[in-house]
Amino acid sequence: MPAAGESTTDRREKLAGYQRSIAGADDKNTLIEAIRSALDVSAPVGSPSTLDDIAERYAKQADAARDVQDRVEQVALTGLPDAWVGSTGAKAQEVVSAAARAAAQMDEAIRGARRALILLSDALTTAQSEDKGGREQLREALGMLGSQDGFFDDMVEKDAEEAERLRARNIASAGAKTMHAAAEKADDAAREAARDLNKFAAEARAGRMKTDNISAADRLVLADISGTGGPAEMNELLTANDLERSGKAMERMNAQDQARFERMLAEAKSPQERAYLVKALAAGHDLNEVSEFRDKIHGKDPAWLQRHLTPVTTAGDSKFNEGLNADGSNKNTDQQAFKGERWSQDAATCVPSTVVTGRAVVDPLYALELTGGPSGQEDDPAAFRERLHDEQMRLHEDGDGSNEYDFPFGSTPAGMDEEGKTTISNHEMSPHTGSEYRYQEAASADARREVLTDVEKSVAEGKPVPITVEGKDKNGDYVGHSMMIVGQEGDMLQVYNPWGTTTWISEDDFINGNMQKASDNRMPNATGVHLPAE
Amino acid sequence: MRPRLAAALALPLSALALSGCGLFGPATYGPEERSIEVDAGDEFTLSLPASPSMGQDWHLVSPHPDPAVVKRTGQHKETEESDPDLVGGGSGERFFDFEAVKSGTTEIKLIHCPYSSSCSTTADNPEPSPTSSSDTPVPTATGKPGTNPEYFIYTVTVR
Repeated sequence: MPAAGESTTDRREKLAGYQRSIAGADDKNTLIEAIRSALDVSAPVGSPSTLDDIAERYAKQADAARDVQDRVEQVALTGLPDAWVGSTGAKAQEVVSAAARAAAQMDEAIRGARRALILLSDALTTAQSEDKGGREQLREALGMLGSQDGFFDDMVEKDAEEAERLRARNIASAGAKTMHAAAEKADDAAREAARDLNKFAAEARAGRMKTDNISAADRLVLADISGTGGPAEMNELLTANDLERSGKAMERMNAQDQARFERMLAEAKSPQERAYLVKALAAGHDLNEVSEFRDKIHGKDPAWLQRHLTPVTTAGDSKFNEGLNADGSNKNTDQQAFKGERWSQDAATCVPSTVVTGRAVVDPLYALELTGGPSGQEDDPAAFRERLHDEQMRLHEDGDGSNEYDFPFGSTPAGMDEEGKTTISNHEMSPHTGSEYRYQEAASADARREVLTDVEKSVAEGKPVPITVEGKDKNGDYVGHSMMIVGQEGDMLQVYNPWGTTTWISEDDFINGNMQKASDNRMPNATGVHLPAE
Repeated sequence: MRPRLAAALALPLSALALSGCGLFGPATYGPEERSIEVDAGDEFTLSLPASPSMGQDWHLVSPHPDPAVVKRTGQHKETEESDPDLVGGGSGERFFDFEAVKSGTTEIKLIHCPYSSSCSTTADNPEPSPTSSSDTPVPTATGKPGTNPEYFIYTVTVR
């Protein structure tokens, strides 16, 4: 049985350490202890046959989902009258199209989950077999070494004894290496499966909106609405968390409020307007605030809504690998801007600037205050910059940021510590995602590997994850920076940099210190993340 | 609020920059003082903010100043390391040094690159220019340094 709380990453870390201890053991007793420690680490846990059984069931469900998809697509192709079917204004054609896409996604998710389970089963089978082989080598080495030396035995080692000990050490080293490789395989496979299954679960979004106040058809359409800034599947407006929170908010409403909100949805001039109203509710605003917001955005075209209410959009070509700039950063970056004025930091305010954008991503009322001003109707990038600057400074104060005095001209921001970042993340983002943020140090590859599944789950659900990166400049001086993970697809992470850009990096880049791809080569290492609690 | 005493006690360069004169060396001009008058033989310096956490920097670009009027004598960058407990701290300044040669008027053109990767060079164009095509054509600054690449043009009159 595995030790209590021993994760696949724990096993991997422990075996890496014992492998080094065995290779470096220069006396018999130390070698015996290191071998026993390695043998105490549990074998890769899990039942490949159970995983295979589940995968088989998924295969049958995938066939059923494909059948549903085919039939719904047939209905969509036949054309439908422009009839009103939903209580929130969703048209029949919209519902059928959304249903067709949901069925396609369901088919893809079930097949993807099946594939993830088969890969995990295969990796587990191999890892368990390799682990067994490695253990046999360790036991063989223990057998060669015999019992531990006593105090006096240990004082003299004959040539033959030394030769036998070294032979045993070689065998044990090979065994520990095999066990460690097996542990790596099991850990990577478990993390990849968790990542993919979490993502598929988060993408089954319509089901997250658990309320009877609006029909299943309306829920289906809401989950399907996307912004105009890029491909639909990369720019859905309502995250799994939005749908879950808005569903709960609707459940809490009295009948009068339910009718009022339903009317707002039904009167929306576009699907996007409807989705932003739901997002406003998900962000925790009461119905009066949502109603005021509705008056500001009512009738605006989808491009206006996207520009004012969605700070981060994802372009279709954003994941293409176009190589690196001379400073180590990705060439392929997307500027995130409001009419040419970036969502970027002024002065040394990367931490508050990260959080300002993070809040704007999850709270459309806040985004509109920044872009559209008090009236919500402004479209002026210079005024946006001024408001963004003021907001960055407000959060700098709130997070007790450091200042540099520039006598006699006042002071300028000079960074913020992790405690301040936790404070402002909780003041600004938590009320709108429902999750409290806590800081988790992740200064080593193992720590980053450990935290990655939680990061990806949060992001897939629609909760951005602020991160800290650091390194040295060419003079050897410390440089630190704040960024935020805002998206995840497969093994890629979308990173927002408060220099006003987003770009994609791999999980491997995050774990193994290649974060310069999202900033520059002075700052390759992620050192900590702010994780939203479950 | 965590004031930094060392920084507060040091005489900041920007104080000199805004005055347009140096107490202990050449006259120093900041980013918002773009009309310069000096005597022939004088040395002067352009001193510009270069925040390390932003990767902010400045580059001299063409057309270069008339060498018969103004001669460039050097450039360097000074940075102050951040406290490692502070994310995004540190400060820095980029200096361009010139000498007034003889009477006349000329222009010094700089490009301001507000963030790391805002500007880059290519094999065809060794002069720094905006990395993103959405930042071109590069506007000429009329105010203080902003968040998009801009040209800063200094007019130098040598008496």
